[in-house]
Amino acid sequence: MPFFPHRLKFFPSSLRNFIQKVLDLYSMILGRYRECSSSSLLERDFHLSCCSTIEAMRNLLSKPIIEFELAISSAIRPSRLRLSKGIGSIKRFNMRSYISSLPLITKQVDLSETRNSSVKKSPKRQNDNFSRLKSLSQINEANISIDRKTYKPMPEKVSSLESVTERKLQELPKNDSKERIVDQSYLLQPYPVMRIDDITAPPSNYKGMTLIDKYLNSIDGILNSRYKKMNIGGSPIKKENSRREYLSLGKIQDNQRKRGTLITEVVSLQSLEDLKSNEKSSTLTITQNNTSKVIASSDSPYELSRPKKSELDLLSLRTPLDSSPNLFAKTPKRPLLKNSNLQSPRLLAPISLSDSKISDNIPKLNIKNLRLPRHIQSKTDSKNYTSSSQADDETTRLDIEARARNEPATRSVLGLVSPKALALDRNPKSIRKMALSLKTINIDAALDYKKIVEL
Amino acid sequence: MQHEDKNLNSSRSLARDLNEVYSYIKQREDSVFKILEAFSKLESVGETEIINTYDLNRAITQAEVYRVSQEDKITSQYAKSKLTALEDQS
Repeated sequence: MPFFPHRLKFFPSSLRNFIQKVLDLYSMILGRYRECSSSSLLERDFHLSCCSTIEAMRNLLSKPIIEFELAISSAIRPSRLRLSKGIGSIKRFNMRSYISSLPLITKQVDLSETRNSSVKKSPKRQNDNFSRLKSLSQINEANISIDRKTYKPMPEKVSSLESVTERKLQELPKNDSKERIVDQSYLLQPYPVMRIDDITAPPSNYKGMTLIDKYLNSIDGILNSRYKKMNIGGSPIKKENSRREYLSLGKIQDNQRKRGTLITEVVSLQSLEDLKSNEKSSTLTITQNNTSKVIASSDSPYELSRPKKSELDLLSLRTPLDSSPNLFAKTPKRPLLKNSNLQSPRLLAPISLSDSKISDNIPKLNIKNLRLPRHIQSKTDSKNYTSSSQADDETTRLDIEARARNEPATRSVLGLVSPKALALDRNPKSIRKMALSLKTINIDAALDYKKIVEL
Repeated sequence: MQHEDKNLNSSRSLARDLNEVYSYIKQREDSVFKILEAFSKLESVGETEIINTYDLNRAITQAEVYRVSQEDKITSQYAKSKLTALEDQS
């Protein structure tokens, strides 16, 4: 019993009839394939395929059981393959023949003709196009030879190219038609713009950018060096401020130095103030005048506008007599000690010098001398004093003795005795001892001076 | 009786479908011969022949698509019937 009885039961005649029909068909076709002499390759291939199909059909009919799918596939598949093969071969052949039969179309041909040229282009028109292209190429070669002479491989402006093109067009013979001239201009214009020489040429020798770069690099170098210099001590603003502070500090130091003297003056004269509390101290007015001078003599307004704390402290040293709150205001200058109450008869009577000389000497006092050792002070003072007079030793000695004995205030003014010591030592005995010691020193100094003069 | 009638109807339909498939095969072979004739004419190439060949190819291709679809439809239909018969047998 067969494996698929239902197939034998339901499909035996129809399938067998179908396979027999196909076998007959391909037996008939086999003769036609032999008749077809278009292509030997196609004929042979198709013939072989047809033979194989017939064999397959015969095998199916010889079998007792015929499967549906096998019968259909063995009948249909070879026919499909033959048709697809024929379609592919004819498409390839058509494409090859179509491309070979296409007319030669280039951009150098007139665009109007190119647009109008359809597939149906006769060989006669193609020959005309070829002849026209040949003539145009000859003209173009002539123009190219001219352009190579005129144009350089350097970048050029389009305007100059256009002008050259127009000139070339004007040089053409007048017999040429308008179309030809247009074609020629069309061919000539793109040549200088897109030349192979320009593409393959070595880098240009244009040095404009290199010069600009060099200039910019030099500027950068200068700027960097300047920036570094400016940034050595910080930012430029900081440096300027530090410089300003330095300058102002120097002036302040100078001023402080001067004020330091003034401070010593004030301190040294403080005792006198205590002693002569009822009297108005002209020295204090002097100090005030000096401070005002110091402040006024400072060149920078910065200091005037912004006094330091030390200045303020210094300026705040007010005497009870100083009632003026504005210390920066300039006090009117007046001859010192001229009308002051310090001109006591006790101090000025023994002095032979005039008041004006004393008043001139007082501002020139160097208080530092007060701090020097006593023997140096005595020497310098005796020298100064003796140098002013050219008297003999006796008179000099007498004068010095008299002054040393009777005029301690004068000696204090001349720097022989410090005012502090003068102020503190009120005992006449001690003053006398001090004066005697000074006398001996001064006499020795005078003798030394005389010896120097004689030598 | 009804089952036998049903099988008879199906066998008739099968014979009809197989005849349809055979017709498709015949049409295909006719198309192949047309292509071979056009191919033999292409040796003397001309614009007109090229255009005709192009039209022929287009017509044959479209017809072949229809034929293939119909053949596949019939094959799939009887493949389902085969499965149902196997189920009935089991």
